[in-house]
Amino acid sequence: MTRDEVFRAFETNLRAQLAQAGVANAGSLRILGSSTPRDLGGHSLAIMEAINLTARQLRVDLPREDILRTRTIDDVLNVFARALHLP
Amino acid sequence: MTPARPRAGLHLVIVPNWPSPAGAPSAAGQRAARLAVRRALAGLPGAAHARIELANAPGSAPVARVDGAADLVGVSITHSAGLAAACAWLAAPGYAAGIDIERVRPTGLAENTIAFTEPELALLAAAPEGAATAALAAWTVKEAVWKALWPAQPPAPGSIELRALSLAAGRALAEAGSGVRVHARVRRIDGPDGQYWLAVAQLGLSGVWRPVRCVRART
Repeated sequence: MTRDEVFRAFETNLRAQLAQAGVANAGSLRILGSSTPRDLGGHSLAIMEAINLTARQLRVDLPREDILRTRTIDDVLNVFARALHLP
Repeated sequence: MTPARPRAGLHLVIVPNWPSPAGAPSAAGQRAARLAVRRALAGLPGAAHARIELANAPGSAPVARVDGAADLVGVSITHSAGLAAACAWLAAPGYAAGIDIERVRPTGLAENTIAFTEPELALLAAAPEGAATAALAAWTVKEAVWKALWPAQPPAPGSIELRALSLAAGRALAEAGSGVRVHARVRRIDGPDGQYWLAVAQLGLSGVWRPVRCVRART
């Protein structure tokens, strides 16, 4: 598994969650490593659910405190990378 | 404009929301905020003609400027799918409020070990309404409490720890990392596309819960 694959899995889940939250452009929204919850419409529930879903799909346990300290998508991916021992 | 005999209360306005691109402020939320600020100001000298500007800088809570003054009224804004809401209050030392709404929908929150601690998950599992229902309501409370704590917020709403939740009574008690305890009210309301959880949290050093005066406005 690569970091890009983790990003794609997370991105897919995030778009689905944002659509459920009523975000008009969830399918075409630019999701970047530098994106913050605010850039994504402030839908922190959608982000939290996407993280949880992705962790289950990848069968990885994420340290809760590390995730709660993240500010950007890159920060989230860093937590996944450490948990999955990615280079 | 100088505060004189301010109307005590937390003024809450709910309006229909319409889709807006992620990252852009919800126009409906902004409208709700203006209406809520107007209601909070009502009765003050010059309030009827006061110029209200809303600012929402990145990484910051929304600010309402009344005739240029940013320290007269506090405001909190939320939106989710078909509803937007805002609450506003006359500023007072140590007092703040936060609001959040979430459309009722299936989620995996009741098993989300990042959103909730083990004691919280046990609290949700014991809810008479069911864990899934309680979990979404609980998250709405966490968001509202997190907003009320601005600018001394923990890193994320998930860091707020729920200590008690009664959906039947519509009450919740949460604790921030610093040991600050915040009371919140939560209730289920109807929206144009289903039901929503609405939570309001109030943080006051005096421990006084301001009466919530809620109105629903049309588009």
